[in-house]
Amino acid sequence: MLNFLPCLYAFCACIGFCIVFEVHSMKFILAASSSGAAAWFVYILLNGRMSEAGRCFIATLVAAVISEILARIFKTPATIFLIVGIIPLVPGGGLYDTMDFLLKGDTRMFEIQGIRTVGSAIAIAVGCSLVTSIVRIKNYKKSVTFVTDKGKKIS
Amino acid sequence: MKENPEELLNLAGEIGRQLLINGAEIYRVEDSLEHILQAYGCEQIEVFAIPACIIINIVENGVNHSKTVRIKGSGNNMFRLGALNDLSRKICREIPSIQTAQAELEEILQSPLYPDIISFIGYGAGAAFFTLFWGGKSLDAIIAFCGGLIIKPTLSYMKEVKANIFFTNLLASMLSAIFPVLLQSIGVPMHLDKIIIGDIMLLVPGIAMTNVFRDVLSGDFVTAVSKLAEVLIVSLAIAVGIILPISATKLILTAIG
Repeated sequence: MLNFLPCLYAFCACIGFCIVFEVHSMKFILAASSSGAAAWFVYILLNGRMSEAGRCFIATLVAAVISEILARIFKTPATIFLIVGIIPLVPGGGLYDTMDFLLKGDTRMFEIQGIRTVGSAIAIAVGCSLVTSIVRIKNYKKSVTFVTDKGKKIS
Repeated sequence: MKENPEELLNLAGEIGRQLLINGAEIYRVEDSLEHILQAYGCEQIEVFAIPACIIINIVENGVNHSKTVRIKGSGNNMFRLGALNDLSRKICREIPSIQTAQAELEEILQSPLYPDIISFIGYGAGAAFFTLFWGGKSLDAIIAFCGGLIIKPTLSYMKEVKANIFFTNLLASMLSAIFPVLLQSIGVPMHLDKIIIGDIMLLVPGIAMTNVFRDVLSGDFVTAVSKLAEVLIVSLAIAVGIILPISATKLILTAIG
């Protein structure tokens, strides 16, 4: 039996971070925090079935797709939801551990932990960029049709 | 182009500056400025943005007009980011006079942010719930909450006195760690590592680290390299800040006992 309590903690922690990041509207806060909780839910579901980077990647894809949908609904940049949504996933602890090993002089663990951290960061970045790029290409096509239709580019 | 190009550049530069210091991605800054200048009928627009500066160049009747904006420090302010994004869309749609646009920009910058008390709770809750999230118990969460309360005023104060990011993060992580380290040394039953990870989640540049690779993937290599340097130096500062009180307590304890 997997323990899903961390999803609730992730949700609450995301609310805290929404305040830190000055997200003002209550519905944005709840929506963004739900996307964070959903990402962590997927991360837990994939426990034991994939490498850590793979889990981060899939969870980020989920958070990014949710963010883009929310951005369409609320007519606001997807970044607001995306930044908050990936907070439970970002390798903050790993980055700290890496530097901690470096300062303690444990170079072997520094290498292992460093590579793991960079791997997770790359997985999250690829996940974000994949979704963002697809959306941008779609939007670009839309703006190109505007140019041909009206003879003037409107974004 | 019916507007004065110099005023137009001032407006665009200011919007770009505010976008960047409130946490917009590089491509968003470049795209927004290009669209705004296009809306006012500029041709041959060149916009180049990196985290430290923005360069804008437009050509009017064969004469080059350019503006450079130097940017120091940035943070995440989603409220302003959203409002600025709305403003640049509105400018593209309605093409208001430059004075109107400038007044609206001022209005965004004047609108109130969270009062301090709510900010404090946000920092505390972020730290406390991340402690629980990484497996801490309720006592650990309460101690981490206090750590979060210490981090917030430290960051604001260091920003006010324009301290560099290394020292800012070193001091913030050190001050947040001293209290739990002391509690542990007098024998309070708690998990020090969980508390510290919860507290430093407020500081560690996890998002920045992810953004480094996002910038690489979107082709902004200069941005990526400069942000990577920032990520490394900030995480080093945090690690030093945490190690200092821990080793100091150990030294003192061995000296006494």
